[in-house]
This record gives sequence, structure tokens and C-alpha cells, in this order.
Amino acid sequence: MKPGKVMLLALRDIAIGVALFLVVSRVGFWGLFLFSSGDVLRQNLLALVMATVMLGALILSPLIPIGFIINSTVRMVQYSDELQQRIFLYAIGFAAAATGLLTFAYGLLEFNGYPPLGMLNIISFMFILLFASLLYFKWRFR
Amino acid sequence: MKTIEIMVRSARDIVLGLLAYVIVLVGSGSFLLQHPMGALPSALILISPVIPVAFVLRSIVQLLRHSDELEQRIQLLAVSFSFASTIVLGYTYELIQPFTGVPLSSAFILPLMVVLWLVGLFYFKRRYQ
Repeated sequence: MKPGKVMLLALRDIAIGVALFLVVSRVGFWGLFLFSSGDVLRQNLLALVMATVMLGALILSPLIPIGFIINSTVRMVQYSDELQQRIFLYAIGFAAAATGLLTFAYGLLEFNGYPPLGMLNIISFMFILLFASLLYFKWRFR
Repeated sequence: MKTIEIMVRSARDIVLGLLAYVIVLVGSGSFLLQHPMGALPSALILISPVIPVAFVLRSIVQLLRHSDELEQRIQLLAVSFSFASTIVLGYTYELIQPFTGVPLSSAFILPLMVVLWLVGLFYFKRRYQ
């Protein structure tokens, strides 16, 4: 298969994986709320066991699309050309290092009573950094 | 300078940086316990361990730049794996956090990333053997 086609397929798989992840995690989240507020659980043991099993399945269900996303990302990186790989290595290395460093610094402040940052903010920050560093390194390697 | 010399120097800098990090972390914590002060100075003292961490990261980048093509490819796969897994694991924890009741501190993101990076490195090195 041509590298271009592999890249397109990987991008498609990533998009499907992200959509699945968002849907499954939201459904799981509301399912957890429904289960945790059910009175039936306190009345019989079988219902309690069933609910515990389903709770476990609901909590772990977003991990399935996660596997697809990680697999597609790794495949996309594997099939890109040398220059693109180099640019991506520098960009993702910079984004990962900067995120780690800055969140770590803020985490030390959190221990001293500062408000928690929240994972969604950290994820957005990671993507912004990745995008900005990709633009920078693409411009540098022109 | 020869590649091997740069690699040895980077490895030495990483070890020294980590040592400095532990010393500054313990030192700043115990200093603040003994001398309580205002919000801004204590915040500055609390984030001071970041300085040696920055040196460690710089040394890691230097080590990466001077590694060969195969090593760079393995690193790329490992870092991508770590980046993606950190995002999804963090988000999953955020979803179940109302039930655990324990918020994920931002300070755990860096150790999580490093552990996942090492796992990725181990896996991809074995795969390319």
C-alpha cells in the first residue's frame, strides 16, 4: 500500500476512534450516574453484583477506542517520510517536555492550596503546544 | 566534539540534574516549613525545583539529537505513544473522578508521561531488535 493511502487510513481511524471515545465515555458517565442513584441496588444482592460488573464495564469501556487511537497514531508516524518524522519528533518532544514541566510546576503550587488545573485544560494545552511547535519546526525545516 | 563524547556528557548532565532536583525539592520544602512567608515568595520557592528539571530536559533533547536514525525512530514512536496515552488516561481518570473523589494533581502528569515513555521505549526497542 502507498504511504499516502496508509496516512489517510490512519487519519480516518483516528477520527473514528476519537468520535467513539467521546460517545462511549459520555454514555459511560451518564450510566454511572444512573447506577449510583438506584435504590434497587440496596434491595437485593444479585442486582448489586450485576451493577458492580456493569459499573466496571462502563468505567473501562472508553479504553477500547483508546487502543484504536494509539494504534492509528503509531501507524501514521511509522509511514511518514524521514523529514516529516524528524519534524514530528522535535514537535512532540517539545510539546511533551513543555507540558510536563509546566504542569509539574503548577502541581507544586497545587500542593500549596492553588486551585486544581483540570485534565481537560491540560489536554487542550498539550494540543495547542503540539500545533504551535509543528508550525515552528515545519517553518524551520523549509 | 565526537558523538560519543556528547552522549556521555548528556548522560552525566541528566544524572547531575536529577540529583540537583532532589536536593532543591527537599531544600525548598524544608525551608518553607521553617520560614513561612507570603504567597508570591512561597510560590517562587515552591516552583524552584523546575530549574534543574529544565536542565534535565535540555540534556535529554541533546541526547536525542545525537542518536542515530533507528534510535530516533524508536524515540519518536515511544514519545508519540506516551503523549497519546497520557491524554486518554488523564481524560478517563477525569471521567471517573466524581466517583473516586480524589482529583488528579497536575504534578502527576510528568511522572505519568515519563513512565509511559519508558514503557514505549522498552516495547519498541524489543520490536526493532
